[in-house]
Amino acid sequence: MTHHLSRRTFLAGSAVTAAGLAGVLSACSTSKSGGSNPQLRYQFFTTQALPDATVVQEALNAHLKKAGADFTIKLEPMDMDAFTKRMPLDFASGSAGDIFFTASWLNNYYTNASTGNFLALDDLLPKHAPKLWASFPKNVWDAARVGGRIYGVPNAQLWPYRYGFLARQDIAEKYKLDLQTLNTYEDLEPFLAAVKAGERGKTALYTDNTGAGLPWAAGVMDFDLIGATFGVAVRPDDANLTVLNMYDTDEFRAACQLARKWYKAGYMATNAPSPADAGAAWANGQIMVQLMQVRGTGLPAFPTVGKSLMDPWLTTSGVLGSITAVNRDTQSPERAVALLERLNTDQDFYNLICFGVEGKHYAVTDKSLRRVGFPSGVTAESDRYNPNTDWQFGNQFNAYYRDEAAAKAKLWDEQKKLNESAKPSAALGFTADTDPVKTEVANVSAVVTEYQLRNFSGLVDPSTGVPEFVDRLKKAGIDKIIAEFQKQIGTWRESH
Amino acid sequence: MRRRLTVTLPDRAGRRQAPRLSAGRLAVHFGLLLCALAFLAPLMLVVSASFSSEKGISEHGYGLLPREFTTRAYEYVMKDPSQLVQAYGVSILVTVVGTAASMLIMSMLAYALAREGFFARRALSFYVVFTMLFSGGLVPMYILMTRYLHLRDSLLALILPYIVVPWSVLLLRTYFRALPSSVIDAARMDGAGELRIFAQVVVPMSGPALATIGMFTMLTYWNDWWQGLLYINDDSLNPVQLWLYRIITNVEAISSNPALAQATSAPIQSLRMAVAVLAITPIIGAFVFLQRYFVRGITVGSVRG
Amino acid sequence: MTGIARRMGARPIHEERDRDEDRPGGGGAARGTSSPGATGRRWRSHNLPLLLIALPALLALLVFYYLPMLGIYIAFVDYRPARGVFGSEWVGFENFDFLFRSGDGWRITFNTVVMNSLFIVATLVTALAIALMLNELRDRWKWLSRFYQSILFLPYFFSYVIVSYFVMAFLDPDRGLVNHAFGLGQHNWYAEPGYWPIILTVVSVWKGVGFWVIVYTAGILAIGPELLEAAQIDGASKWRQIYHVILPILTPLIIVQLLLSIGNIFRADFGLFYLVTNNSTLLYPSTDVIDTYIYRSMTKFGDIGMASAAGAYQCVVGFVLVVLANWLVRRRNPENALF
Repeated sequence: MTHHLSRRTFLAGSAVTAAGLAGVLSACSTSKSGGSNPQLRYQFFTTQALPDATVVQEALNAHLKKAGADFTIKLEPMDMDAFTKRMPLDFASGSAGDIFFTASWLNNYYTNASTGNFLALDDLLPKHAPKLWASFPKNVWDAARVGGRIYGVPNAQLWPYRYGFLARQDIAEKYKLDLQTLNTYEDLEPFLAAVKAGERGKTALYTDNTGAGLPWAAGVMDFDLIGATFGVAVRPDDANLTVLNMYDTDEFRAACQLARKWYKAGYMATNAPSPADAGAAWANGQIMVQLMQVRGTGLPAFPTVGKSLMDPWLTTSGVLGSITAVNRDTQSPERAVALLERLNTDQDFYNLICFGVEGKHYAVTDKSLRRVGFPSGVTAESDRYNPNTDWQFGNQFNAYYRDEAAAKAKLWDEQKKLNESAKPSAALGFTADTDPVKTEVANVSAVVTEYQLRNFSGLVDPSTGVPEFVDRLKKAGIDKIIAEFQKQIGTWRESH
Repeated sequence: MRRRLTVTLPDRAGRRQAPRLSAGRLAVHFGLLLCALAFLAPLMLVVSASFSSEKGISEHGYGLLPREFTTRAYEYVMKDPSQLVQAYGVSILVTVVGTAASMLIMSMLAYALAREGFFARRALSFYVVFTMLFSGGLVPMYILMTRYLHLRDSLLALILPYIVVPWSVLLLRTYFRALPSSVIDAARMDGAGELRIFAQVVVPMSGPALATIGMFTMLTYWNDWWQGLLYINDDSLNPVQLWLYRIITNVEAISSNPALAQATSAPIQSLRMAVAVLAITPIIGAFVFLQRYFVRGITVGSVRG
Repeated sequence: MTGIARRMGARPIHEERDRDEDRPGGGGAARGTSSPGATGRRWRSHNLPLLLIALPALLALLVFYYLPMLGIYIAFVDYRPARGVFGSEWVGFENFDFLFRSGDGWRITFNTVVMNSLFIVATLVTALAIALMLNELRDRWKWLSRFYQSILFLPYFFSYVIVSYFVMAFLDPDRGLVNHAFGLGQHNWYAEPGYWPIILTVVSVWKGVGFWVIVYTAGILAIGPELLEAAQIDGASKWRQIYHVILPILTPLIIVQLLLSIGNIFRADFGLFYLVTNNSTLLYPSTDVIDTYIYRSMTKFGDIGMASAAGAYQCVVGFVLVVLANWLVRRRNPENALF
């Protein structure tokens, strides 16, 4: 195996050596032979050691054999940190796997697709993954296009952003929070004030030093971010597709004013902690309310109530939240796509990779509800295979439920409906090419990180802080980015 | 050689008397003691936090005494003790082999660079210094290690990248240069070759220098998780720092990302500190053990000749 | 003092030079003042064995440092992994643009150099002072001086993550020790950049000083007590001893420390500036340095070419500074120069 692997990586990665040599060798690497029963490497991230990954891998391969597949699978989980650092290096050295997890926020889908690390799947999907190909409407596939071609398969799950808030149920009851009348973040104010006055020594509102948990989120304000991290957006209902700087809008200024008011009233910690510490404080019941997406998944440590305060929009970045892509250098593109078909349409196969082997890593607690739990004597911590990221591996609507409330509510059906009823953004399917403006993007990103947080976390007075922010953005070249994207989006609309 | 040395060095016996405990010395002690307290406090804080409950820390912050004493963090780390033991084993092996090999070849180079009249002294010193200033970055190193040297999942990947630390070579060279040249000259006149002078004269005389740099080299190997993160996939080859680092980053990822939430949450705040304690305890032990060699140093070496 | 040193035989090698030059067949041979036959003999008995002794480490440096250096080429291309390092398109200095076109270029350069200079000087002075103090104690209560030394080295073991929590235990505005103990009320330290050059210097010295104390102590130990005692017999005062015996012996070490620090003056300790400040953006006027800026511009749209360009920029500046500083040192005393 090691021998096979090193030879393969050598061939596949040969393009990295001197150009002339690469020409000769890469000819071999692109010959799509792959042997009779090739092993496909699947790289994904995990946040929990998976000592039994090999056990599950054997089960998966037994399943594949029974189903008559002409390939096997090799699971290569990496810790999130290692995944982040290693994937670019693996691409650079030609040692990346056959298929891997990618997203707008991790192992950047757009960057990888546009720099040529991924295989375009347009021709392969209809032929080798017909069920998968038929399962999404055209606009979902469009969202995955970069430069007109599809470079990955979105993993079906709840796609629209659902920003809102969560509050501890006991606190909500104690201070009589009325969800019905609550429609904006401003409406939360009396509740926060009551909590602050009544719960001494606790923090009313969650904040962390990355800016999560604040009354500003592009999605809440109905912006469709086309330059995800640097504030360039369009309004999803804008038929003219005017590209704008969302930090220079009334919505942003209003949100900053609100944050300033809340900060001064002492609802948030004076010095926001790191996300891990803030998360720990939330889990320990030290924080009462959190502004976040309300998706109904995940396993809360205590009962909460919550509500989403926004319209569901189907946006490109929402759909690109979880994708599986194929290595451009794979020896067996057809089988890699067949594996994608299996992950997305073969429920047993999919649940095996999500939950492990029945009886060993999970136990069915309620067959009719499709609900599972841990086998007796096993906990989330001691389970030797518990990736807990079903949304990473394929169509999440095929997954078992862990949470009882979700199972009873048939959450997957609810979310499927939400996906279908969500209005598509006018810019759905457009992905901006940052390459012509990459210097400006780097500079603007730096300015955004410096000024965004202090403004929308209430640390400075927005009446002076926001104009300063906008001024710095202009100096860093945001107008050039806007002009470039406006041009691109115009071209895109014509061809669309 | 032995004779010459004892001639050059005066007889120490009877010459030394313990100095008086003057006001000046007391002041020095007082200053150092204050310093020591400032330096000891963080250790206390880390240890106490590692025995605190999550709730206690969230409510009151870190303190010098545990908040709501618990050993939950240690239990979390040791839920599978065999892995921890294995990781310690890997670290010890890498540290011992790495330090021995590294010290040998680094001090040989440093000796050559320290020798008066060695024709390539300046050029080679530049050769060493240059490596500290220029680096090609991570990508070429990764390609070299994985594609050309095939060191993925090999313990050599943890040892070789640090086998020569230019910084240490330069420090060693500086120490070697300060050695009395008369001794080396004498050995040369006795007909000893360069390798013998190095092994039998310079090394024995450089106790504190070698112990010091050896300590830093050990630390480099012991503390490293980065090479492991890059080149080790096989869990059984994880050094302990990497293993602990992975526990922390995983728990942090879960704690900070609602999409990854588990019904039971790991004690992240105390865990971080418990991990620090587990990671540094052995190396502090080694340090305290080695330290007497720093102090004993050259006096012993030179008297022994 | 030199008289004593000579009598004790503890003369550092570099003082030998003066004498060698007067002596035919001595060190002068390497400077070509002697016959070809002598040179050949010297080559076989001296240079060749030394070269062989140095060889293993030289090879290791070649493989693990010089080979990867070819990758600096990445800074000058539009890097596409699929095309390989040398197959990617050459773009000249385009990747460097982002560093210089931003309005922050001056600020981050200034902060990096000023903060690093503060660290260098403060660490040097503190480490020397402590090493000298420890030296005063070395013949009485040895265990105590050893105890101090270990304690001083402790912070070196902690990662900046841990250090950042320690600092926060002091400075947290809501429950930190400083605000509580000294009754400073709601002083928000993480929002006031003015204090941070001092805070970070203290943290940096606190964390790194133990290392240098050990380095300098080992240097002082190389002197041997005999030399110092001889100085005492000569009636030299403490200060004169320090000034005339100890400091001259430590000078080469000090110069190594300074020269190497100057080479890295354009590289900031990322953990210190990012974690210890809790990444509070309000502190950027004094704590935003080249490395944090690169991190900020690269996190989301990481471009390997641009990151390499930033690295190359730091390398070149560091290199120029070291060559310059080394030249200055060399003019005064060639033996103290790095190369």
